[in-house]
Parts: sequence; C-alpha cells; structure tokens
Amino acid sequence: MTGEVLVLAESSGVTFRKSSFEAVTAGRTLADLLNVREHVLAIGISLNDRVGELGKYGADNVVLAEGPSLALYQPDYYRQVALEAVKRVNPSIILAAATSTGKDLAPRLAIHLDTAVASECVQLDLEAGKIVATRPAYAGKVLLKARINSSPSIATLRPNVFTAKEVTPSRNPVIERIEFKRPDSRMAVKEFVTQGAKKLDLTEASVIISGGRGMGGPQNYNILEELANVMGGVVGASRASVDAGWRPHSDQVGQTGRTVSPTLYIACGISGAIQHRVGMINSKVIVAINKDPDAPIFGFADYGIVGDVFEVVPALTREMKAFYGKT
Amino acid sequence: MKALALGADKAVHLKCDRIPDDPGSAAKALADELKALEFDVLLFGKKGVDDDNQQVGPMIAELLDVPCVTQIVKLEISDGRAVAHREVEGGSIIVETTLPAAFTAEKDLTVPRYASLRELVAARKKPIVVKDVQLLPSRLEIVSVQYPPPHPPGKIVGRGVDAVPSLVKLLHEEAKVI
Repeated sequence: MTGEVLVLAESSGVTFRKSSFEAVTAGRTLADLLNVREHVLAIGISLNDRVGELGKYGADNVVLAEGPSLALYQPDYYRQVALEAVKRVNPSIILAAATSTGKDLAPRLAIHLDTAVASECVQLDLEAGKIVATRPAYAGKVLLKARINSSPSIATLRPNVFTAKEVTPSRNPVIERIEFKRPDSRMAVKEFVTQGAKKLDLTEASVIISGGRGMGGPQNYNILEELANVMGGVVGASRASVDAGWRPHSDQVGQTGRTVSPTLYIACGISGAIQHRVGMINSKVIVAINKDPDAPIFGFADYGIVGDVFEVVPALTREMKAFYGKT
Repeated sequence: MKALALGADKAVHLKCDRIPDDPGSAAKALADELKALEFDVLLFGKKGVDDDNQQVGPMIAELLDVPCVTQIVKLEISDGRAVAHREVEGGSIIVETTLPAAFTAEKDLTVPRYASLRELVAARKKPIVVKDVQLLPSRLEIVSVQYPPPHPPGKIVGRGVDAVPSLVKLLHEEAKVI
C-alpha cells in the first residue's frame, strides 16, 4: 500500500469548519506513519486565501475546487469533485469529518470506489497499513474496532473528538485546482434556512447549557438562555423535552440528536439516560443540576449540585455574571 | 409485521446468511432486490440504531442511480417532483428533486403512530415473502467489541443555591474551563 492520504475539508463557502481541521490533523498523523503526503480537497465558493490554514495543520498539497454552486452541499457536485480528486491523488486513505456533508458523501464515494466506510470514528489506528477504526455502536454502549480491508479506506471522524493541532514548521501547501463544471443533476439545492437567531450549532459550541424534563415546560428555558448568554454558550435539550415539543429536534443532544463535545456541558433537569449520555459524554467537563440525588447523571458528571433548577440556575447566572465581570 | 400493520401492503424479508456488518454488502443485497421494482419514492431511516453506520440509504441510491436526499425533516410531493428539507448544522437545506428518488428520514419527519388492533389482525393476512440472500464478502471487518472506559465518578459540590459559588470556583480553579 503506497497510496497517499486525502482529506476532505468542508467549508461554509469561504471559511473552513473546525471539524475539517481536526480531520486534517488526523490525516497528518496517518501520513507521517505511512511516510506519504497528505492532500486536502477544499470545496467552497472562494477559499484561495484560506489555503494557508490547511498548511498550518499539516497539508502538503491542496486540491482546490471553487465555484458559486459549491457553496452548499449538493451530492452530485461534491461527488464529482471528490472523485476527480481521488483520480488525481490516488489515495489509500480518505478522511472527512462526520458532519451532515461527510456522512452523506462518504457512502456515495464508497460505492463508486468499490470500498467500505467506517462512520463516526473516535480513534484511528494502522495495522499492516490498513485502517482499524474505533467507533461507538449500540447507542455508545460499546466501542467497535473495525478493520477496513478494501482500498481506499474511507473514514468519517466524529467532530470534537480529534484535536486540531498545528504542525511546526507550518507547511506551505502546493495548490492544484479542479476546474469545476456543473454536471447535470436531478437535484436542485434551493436555499439554506438558518434556525432562529442561534449563532452556533451545538456541535461547534464550547459551552452548552442543556435542559431536560425537569425544566417543566417550554416557557422555562429562558433561564437557560440567560445563563448561555452570560457564558457565550448555546442551549441544548434532552430527548424528553424534544419529544414533549418544548424544543426543536435540532437542539437535541443524544443518540437520535447531536453528538456534542464542548469544553463545558451543564445539564439542567436531565436524568442522564443512556441515549443522552452517548451524545455528551465526550464533553471535557460535565456539570449536573438535578433535584433527584439518585439521577444517573450524577454517576458521570464531573460536578453535581443537588437542587431545584429554578433556584440554582438563576443563582449560577448571577455568579457567572459576577465572575465574568471580574475577569 | 409492525410495518404491515402500519399500512404496508407487502413485505419482503431478505434473510442473510450472516449479520450484515458491512453496510455496503447490505446495500448491494437490497439494491439487487429493489432494481426489479418500480417506485417513485424510496424511504429509509437515517441510520440503524445498532451499528449507527448511516450509510445504507445513500449507498442504495448510488447503486440504483436515483437522487437521494438524506436526513430530511420535511417532504412534499407534487407533480412528479419532491421538495425535501434536509437538517444540517445550523439550519436546513431545501432540496428539490425529480422522482423517483430516495430519502432518509431524520427524527422529525413524521410521528410514528401505534397500529390499531384491527390493523394488527389484518396484517397477519398480508404476504411476507422470505428470500435467502448471500451477502458479498464484508470489507468492514469487526475485530473487537469493547465496553467504553468508565467515566471517572465526579463529586457532588453541594445542595441548592449555597453550592453555586463553590461550583464556579471549581470550574475556574480546578477544571480550568472558565
């Protein structure tokens, strides 16, 4: 196996996603182990000025595909660009972040390249030149190690699990362009509708304040919003509160919702069922506020306060305001 | 049986010779079965809740060469076209597609209902065709299954509002996250 490493770097059109830098770092590690080069495919509207950032994380080469119709993920367009990059690079390993784009594109590429994908990996190892991917299954109850026996091996990496690390010295990547010609497609991407005024997606937030059944109803989430505002975080929700119709599904943290790993996760009135746990267990620090001292969440939270969320959360907001006022 | 009770007219059970741990081999078996059928819409769940691979739907669509919109929360069909809302980071993308097409459902697409007793009884008369299928060799080989390392137990800072100042202090001085 002498092929190179190819990483897909996703963008918002003009800036790269943090999870893509994580994938570039993971790709750098594998490329060093295999003693090959790391190529990064960058797709977006206009990324030329941003390519240096990929070099900081270790990219040797950048394959750049730019075009106004590449702003939003369109499966037929992205597949065409990715297959062209694969043809040029001839990789033995392809990595992408396990975002909505990565998880849609990877299986499509696998069919066209006649190979297999390991989804949502949390660790990648090499064994005799083959990828052995560690990935959670059964709602995070177990970790599977799966070897990909076909080439190129494709893996999508769960966001916020791999750390994006700058290399020294930073690379100065060679840029190669793909002339993007829009193929005929039976699908048309109409528009992107943002959800409310939320600045950050849960998967990208460093502080998350989540509310569960203990919040009592949708009208009470304002106390979480206030705390989130003070701390620069975003509000999430448990499955129980989403199923009750209190919060939109896009706020849900857990197995059927988002998998998050912020620096600080504050669970308010959340019991900590297994399907919630799997979505947030990779948070750096977990705080639980719950009036039930026997709630499972206290079994895996780093810090817990037993108490009424309606008293403790406003007090915490005041304390945080004072804290941030001081620093 | 449950699917038949909820409105399906006919079921086909592809009985595999082993557990399909490579989603690619499952997708090929399903695509082989589906290519003989005429359809306008292929609906899948977003992912299986066992392996969490989230691959089979788009793989089948690629094998059958039909458009596929994944993770949809809304679907409207009229005049041979479909408009699907696909949930992505920070919002949703509206995609229009010709039919036939494949879709994978995100959680909010519909609310599953329970089958009535009458439907459950009627379902028993509906046909379930069982076909033996030999899966292609798996390229995703499971080498081990382990429990994740236990999360170290934390500490209860205290009870009620009085514990709040200590919590902030710990987050700042011990955990160093604020």
